[in-house]
Amino acid sequence: MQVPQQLIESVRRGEPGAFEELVRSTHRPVYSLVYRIVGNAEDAADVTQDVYLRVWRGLRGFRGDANFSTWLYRVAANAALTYVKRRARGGVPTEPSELPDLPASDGTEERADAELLEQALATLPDSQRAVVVLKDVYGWTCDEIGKQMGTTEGAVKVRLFRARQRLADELASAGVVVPLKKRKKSS
Amino acid sequence: MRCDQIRPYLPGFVGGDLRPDTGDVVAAHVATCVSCTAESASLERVRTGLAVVAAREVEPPAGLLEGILERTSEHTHRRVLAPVLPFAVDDVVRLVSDHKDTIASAAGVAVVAAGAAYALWRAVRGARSAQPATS
Repeated sequence: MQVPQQLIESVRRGEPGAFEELVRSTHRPVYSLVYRIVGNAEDAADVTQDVYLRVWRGLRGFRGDANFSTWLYRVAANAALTYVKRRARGGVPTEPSELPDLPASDGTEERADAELLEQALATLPDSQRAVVVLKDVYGWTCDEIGKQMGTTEGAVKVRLFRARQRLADELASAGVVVPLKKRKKSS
Repeated sequence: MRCDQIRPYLPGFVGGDLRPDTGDVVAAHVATCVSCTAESASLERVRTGLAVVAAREVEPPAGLLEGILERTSEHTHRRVLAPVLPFAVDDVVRLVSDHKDTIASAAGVAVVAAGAAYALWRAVRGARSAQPATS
């Protein structure tokens, strides 16, 4: 996601149409990140709207020397994690996850795996999904994730490892890889 | 070490997320174990698949863009009040929204406390009026 610096400056100056252009050019990747953390299309749409309210409010204080995309993803992840936390406390009813509407696979093995994994992500528990999405999909460090989620790096790793294991199980049940838990011990 | 001791570390091993000393132990085992090598390969495939996921976009629901623009437009209208208020209206709205459970609990406690105070006041007043007049 590349956002021209000129557009950001236009938004900060309050030029007509600039914020709309910013939303148009960024809402898809932002929605994708939010969806992958909250695991539900309807909730993801609500949270994405909230993200842009935060962006609108926060842009005046945004320092031009920071990377806007990084900042935007951070705002989005923070909003999604806050929502998931509130949902876990029972403040928000949990809707059953549905499969995301994804572009058709071009037939390569990696893309077929990605398609399966994207669907499997929606079936993970909230805390595991958030961690594996931020680490393995968006490349955050365990330390960053821990700070963002208000937990320790160790707790993040435990969730991450369980999530990877479950995703491997999902690939195995689709016949893509050898089932992990059914193999005999070798030594 | 046995496979059942190594296996819990494999998801961390494939991502390079283990401490170096632990990683070395796991690597030494995996190098000599066909089963754990296969398991590592499966987990590695998960990691490479997830890296591809990053480049894909999930199709947003119809009306999302319009919804965002509508909400930010409402926000703009609220800002009209900003010059006459000593606080940002949206900050208050967000604060209330984020802490509505706490606010509801506090309001409940306040209502109960007010009710109790009123009952006490009535009781004291009743007791005073029931006392015989002394001359």
